[in-house]
Amino acid sequence: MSFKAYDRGKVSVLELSGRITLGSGDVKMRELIKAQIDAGKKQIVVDLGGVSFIDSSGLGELVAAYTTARRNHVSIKLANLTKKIDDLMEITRLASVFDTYGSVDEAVESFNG
Amino acid sequence: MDNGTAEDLTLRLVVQSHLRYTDLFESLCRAVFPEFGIPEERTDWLCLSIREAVNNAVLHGNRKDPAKTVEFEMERRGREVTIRVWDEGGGFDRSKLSDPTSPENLLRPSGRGIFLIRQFVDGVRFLTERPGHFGMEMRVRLTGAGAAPQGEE
Repeated sequence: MSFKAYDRGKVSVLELSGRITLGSGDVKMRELIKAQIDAGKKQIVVDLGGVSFIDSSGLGELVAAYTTARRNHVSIKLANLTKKIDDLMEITRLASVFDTYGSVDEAVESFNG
Repeated sequence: MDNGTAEDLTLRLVVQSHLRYTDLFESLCRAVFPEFGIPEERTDWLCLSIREAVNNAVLHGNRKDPAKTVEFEMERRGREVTIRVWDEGGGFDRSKLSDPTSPENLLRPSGRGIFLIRQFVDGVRFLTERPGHFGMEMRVRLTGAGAAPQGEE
């Protein structure tokens, strides 16, 4: 998995690419999100547009990041889900946990609204 | 790989129990699925299921012991493909599998692997009759491909 981190105003955007699977990307994703939280970011958008494959471990790390964020009064939103990842979120009912948006712009804008 | 008839096909692979081989299983499956008649639209979902089964075998069945093995079998008989993943563990209590979609479990970081497998294959069976081994059997019907009904025997 590769990543790019940048700010859009007060919103921190994590752009992830590649595969997020057990032992390959799952822990890295957790560390990236935790680093944003530790840096004091309160609004985070995770851009999953470049993520081609995610397994139960990757989903679990997203959930763990969400609960860590919530404990720290940080809001995490997801953007750019591919059809397959969107399907997985629906099947696992994690779609009811995460706020998801069709684009990073929409996700960032939602923090301003 | 043994291709007895045009319809029957068997693939067996035995590797040391280590997570680094999970990618190997996936690559192998992507390469041979067309030969087994697995439709392209099911490939990603079945690869996900196989990854989950192999990871479970390594982590929970063999408890990360690299001296143990993971055995993989894929058979096509007529219009059905059967995939079995064996470990050298004692299995687990299926009654303790919780529903990861229930509200009290939604925020748990683990417990989705077997649930996902059940979504993407046409039948799941746990195999306990082989001494010293525990297996997960996943059945894939080749008729009506594309649908992903759930089920466990």
